[in-house]
Amino acid sequence: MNSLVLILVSVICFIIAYATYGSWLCKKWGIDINRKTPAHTREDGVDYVPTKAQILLGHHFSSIAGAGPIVGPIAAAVFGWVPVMLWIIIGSIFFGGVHDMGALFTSVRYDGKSIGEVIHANMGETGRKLFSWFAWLTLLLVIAAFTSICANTFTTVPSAATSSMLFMILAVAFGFLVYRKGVGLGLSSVIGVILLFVCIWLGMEFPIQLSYNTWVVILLAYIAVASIAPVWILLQPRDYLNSFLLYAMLLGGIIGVIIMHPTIKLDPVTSFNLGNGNLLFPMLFVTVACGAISGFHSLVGSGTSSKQIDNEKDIKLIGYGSMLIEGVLAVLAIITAAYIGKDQLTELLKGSATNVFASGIGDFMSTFGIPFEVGKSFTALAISAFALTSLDTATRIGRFIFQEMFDNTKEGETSSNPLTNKYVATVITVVLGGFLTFKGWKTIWPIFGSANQLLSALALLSTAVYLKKHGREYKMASIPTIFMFAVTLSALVLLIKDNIINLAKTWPLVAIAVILFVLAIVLIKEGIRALKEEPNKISKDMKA
Amino acid sequence: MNRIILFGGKGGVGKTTCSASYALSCAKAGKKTLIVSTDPAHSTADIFGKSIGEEIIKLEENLYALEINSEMESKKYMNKVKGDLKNVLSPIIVKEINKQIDAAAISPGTEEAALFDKMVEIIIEKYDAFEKIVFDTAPTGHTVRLLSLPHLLGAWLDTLIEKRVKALGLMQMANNAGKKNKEEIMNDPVIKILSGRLDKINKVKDIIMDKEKVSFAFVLNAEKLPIEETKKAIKLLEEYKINVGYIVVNRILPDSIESDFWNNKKQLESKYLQEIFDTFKNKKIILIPMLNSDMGPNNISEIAKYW
Amino acid sequence: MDKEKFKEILENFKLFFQGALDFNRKSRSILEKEAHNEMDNFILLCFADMLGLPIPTTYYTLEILPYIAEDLEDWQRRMMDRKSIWGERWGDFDLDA
Repeated sequence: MNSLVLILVSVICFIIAYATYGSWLCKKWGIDINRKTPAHTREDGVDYVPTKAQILLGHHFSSIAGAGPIVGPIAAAVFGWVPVMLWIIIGSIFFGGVHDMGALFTSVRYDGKSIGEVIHANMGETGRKLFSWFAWLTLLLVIAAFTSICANTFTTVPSAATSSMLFMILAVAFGFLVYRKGVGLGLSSVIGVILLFVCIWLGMEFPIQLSYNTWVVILLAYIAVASIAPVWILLQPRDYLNSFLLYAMLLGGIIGVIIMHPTIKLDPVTSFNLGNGNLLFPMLFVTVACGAISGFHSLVGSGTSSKQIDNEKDIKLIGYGSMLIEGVLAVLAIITAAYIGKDQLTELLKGSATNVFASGIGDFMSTFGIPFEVGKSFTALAISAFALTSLDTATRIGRFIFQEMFDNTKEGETSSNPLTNKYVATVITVVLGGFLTFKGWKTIWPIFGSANQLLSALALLSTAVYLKKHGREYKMASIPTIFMFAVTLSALVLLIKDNIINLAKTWPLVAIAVILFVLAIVLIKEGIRALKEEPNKISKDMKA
Repeated sequence: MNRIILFGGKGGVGKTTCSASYALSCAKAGKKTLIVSTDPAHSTADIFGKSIGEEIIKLEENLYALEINSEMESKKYMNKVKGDLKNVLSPIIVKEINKQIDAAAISPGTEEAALFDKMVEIIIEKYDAFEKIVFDTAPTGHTVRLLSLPHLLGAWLDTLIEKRVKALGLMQMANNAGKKNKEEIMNDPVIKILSGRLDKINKVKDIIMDKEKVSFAFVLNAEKLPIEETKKAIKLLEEYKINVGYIVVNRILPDSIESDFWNNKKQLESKYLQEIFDTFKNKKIILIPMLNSDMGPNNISEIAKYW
Repeated sequence: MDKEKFKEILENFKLFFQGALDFNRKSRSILEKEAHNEMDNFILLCFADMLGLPIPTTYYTLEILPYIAEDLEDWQRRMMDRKSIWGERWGDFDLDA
């Protein structure tokens, strides 16, 4: 089986799905091209700005693309590439695409309000609170998982460690140059890109070797500081430079894999039970997570994109379409794991999924002249850079959620509650997340996947309730929701069961798994209640 | 010697009488004096038998007068804002905003703010032109609030300006993808307005807190409640570092009284007077007698002698 | 392939990459958002009473009304959505997962 076949099959499936299922969704949901979107009704040149669909797609995809859809499929490759491919394709088409599009659609119908508000309108205050909790827990797990992945990457690919640190310094210097000294953006970008390659070269020349635990501590300290720093010092310049990395890597990877078109060496299917509680169902589904369906996308869609939708017909392209494109990225990831065969895969996986992906892309890029080591270092740097971005953003937003959660519970006594203090909230979030790090990303990842999918289940549920209340067919949202619940609940039970023996060492993870489980049950109850409600009980926010 | 004197005290104790007679005594002593009336009931005008308005008029040799009409000041301010609006924005927006302005006009504290603004203006503008400026001010609570305004306003304006500067700075960084242009930021009309106000406030703060420049004269009657209230008020004023130079006991009963009723009262009065002398020993205490007729242009010079 | 259709597809790709690689926007977006948030807070301090929060300093801020007036309506609408902001902020930063 040639990898090109995999790419072609997935792309064709996605195109067909986009044209058929996507359009069917539009029809069934009542997408109205004559209806004015909030980008027009609330246009303010700040948040609400009507944007051309294709441009918005570019923005949106940039925001959702990252390390998630890469790590997941590679970690799940142990089950064989066929199940992973199937779940990526079927998941993106019937689950993730529906979820993303539903979140975007309902947000547009609610004046571009963020998904929390939409959930509030459809499922009440309990729903919204649950969403905050799920989001915060998922963010903690992101911190744990990505810190672990980075630390692992740095330990096994020390050149990535050096270049990542240099990259951070470069970003700060870039910010200083551009935003303080006023050096032109064009010139600074050129200098920036050149220096980027210097970073990679320096990384390869002077790799830094430190232990896993040391890296974890350094990374945690970094994200605590970075999440509080003013945006123009680190966040802005770094995100800017990241985009060069992302698209260079994607381009290089795709061109490379097409030129190389390696054969798949990995087993198509290994086993339904790999032992140690590694059952295909449900673990495959919570491992691949972001590559098939990710709750985070609803937040990106409803946070910014919904306020920029020019016409409702664009919702299909941006909501459904971007998820499919992300699916292609996931396919690229599984190929890097699948073309090397089981032994090499196991070997490389010791250094985390980034190692596998970086080796693969490095290999692909060598087909058009980029030396393997350079390509590998470059990709390792890119993935680490995304992971680091996600890390301090997760900490920042985790802190916001935390502050808001505890501000709401104490009436009239807001500022005196230390938990709402910016620094306290940051430290708590980082410490809790960091606490979980020491368990290793392989153990954390499925729990992260479960949390993320519970988040998506909630968003899907809210879409289903909205559709039902407006007299529309809603099974295309409710059935995936039920499946998500089945998957995550069984995954959580499995995880608890396996780790409960070692409770002394694994109690933080077990604790989180239990919390998630309980919250999921509450959510199911809420969902049943909301779906059972009379269709004419429409809350005052709702528009027809 | 204090150039600015503010008269304060509970309503009805006779502030107007005291401030008017004091101003007259200063004028007679050869000092160019300005008396500023803030009383909407125009009592000062009645006392001097002349009509006093927004323009400074001469009452007598060395004595000039001015009246602040806070309602008019507030209207003037509102109209200026409305005028600025028209110059800067489309009439449609102006119509919407006018509603805000009218709502603000009737909100509590508006007239007080207008009054304070005018007082500030007078203090800054007329400081050099007169050797004495006498304000007959509002009842205690209001006065204290009025005088604490510079501190509160100052801090608040500082925060506002800081926020605006930060926002504009970020905007510049974003748009020029370049360095912040400090000059351009300082030319922002909003910052100019706010800074202008802050400057004025700071100038007034300096003047008010300077013991040499400003003093407070507290008027009371020799009765129980006024003494308590005076003690509290003085404590409050001194917290804001405002010097209380004079305690003026008004409406002292005449010595020659006959009936038991009045004798009793005279005795009580003596007792309270003693308490006053004891409590406020470090202040200059002035006694003003009760008159047998209304205060007017004919007997004001009489009272002036008591200063 | 139909020349028109081909041109259209090319145009679509071009726009996609324009959005994806919109470096100009990327170099500005987060800063602009911060700037607007700060400005919103500034206006809040000046005109909170428009939201029903009585502040005693309205009199003094009326003076700057002419220069802020245009933004007021949009500002009010934005303020109404401020009960919970973390959801809005999510889209501002890149949480790639």
